[in-house]
Amino acid sequence: MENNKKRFGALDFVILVVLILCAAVFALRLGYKEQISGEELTAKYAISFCVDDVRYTTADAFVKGDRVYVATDDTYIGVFERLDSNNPAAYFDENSNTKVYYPEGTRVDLTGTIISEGVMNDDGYFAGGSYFLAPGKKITIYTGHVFVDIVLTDIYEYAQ
Amino acid sequence: MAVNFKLKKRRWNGMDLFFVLMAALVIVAVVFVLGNMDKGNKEQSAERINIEYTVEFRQVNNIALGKIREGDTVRDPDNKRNIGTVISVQSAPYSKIAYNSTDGSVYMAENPDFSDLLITIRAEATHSDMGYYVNDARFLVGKPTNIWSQGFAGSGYCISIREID
Repeated sequence: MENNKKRFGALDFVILVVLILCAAVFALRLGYKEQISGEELTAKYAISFCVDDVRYTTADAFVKGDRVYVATDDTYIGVFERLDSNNPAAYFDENSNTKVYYPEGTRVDLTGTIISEGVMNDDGYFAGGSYFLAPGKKITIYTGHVFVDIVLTDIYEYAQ
Repeated sequence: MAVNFKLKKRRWNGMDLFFVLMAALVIVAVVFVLGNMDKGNKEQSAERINIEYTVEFRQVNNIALGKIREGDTVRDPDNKRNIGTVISVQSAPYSKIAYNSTDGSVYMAENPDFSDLLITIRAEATHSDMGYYVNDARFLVGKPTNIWSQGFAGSGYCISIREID
């Protein structure tokens, strides 16, 4: 009697190997390239930023130690460290060519610092090894308490 | 002497397809889990807390004043779910900063036809790295916020969130 039972064949094996390779490539794409290539991610960087013309109460929502994410794709970029300044916002009055400051308790400009871990190389700074950040870049971020647009002003190695 | 080799050619069949699909599903699941871990290991808290959040609505036509009151239930326009109960409604004339070039003074110029509304809402929420969630609606200071109630609908910004005992 002829035995028609199917066995695990070479073709199945090849398909499995290809699928596993695809998964490995996906993992690379998802940010694990630093583990495989051995690239170091140990350096900490301070990212300075400014927030222009927000309600004065927004400053209270910046909480030290909050994790900071990019709102567009939920990329984690670091931990909020501190607010460095909190000054009245200003606007330019074109009729009188005068810079006018908002009264206290209305609109403010904030500056602050995020501590990030990433790689600085010839191409610039990459938070987490893969997310490009540079002074001048405008991004929307959120923490567990606040949601704001920030403009990066400086990135430098963090000395603890 | 003749040798009779019977070559049995294996063909791709349904069982192979099923096997490969199962393997692919497992791999996709593993990659998905690893991918989510890479998104910062957000800490989720299932603990429910009471919060009071305030939403500022700028330049609201005075006709809408009085349409939302303390005790009203508010809903999220997107998911239609309850996002709390109004505990305070404050209004002030809509004002804009203005500069008097003759004496150099800065003042808030008021427009009597419009008002700024501050609506404070109490709700039960969960908190995580993503913010505060009330029935799947997300609240963060500075985030655009839309609300519905029986007599009022508006788009404003959340200006404060306070955890209460």
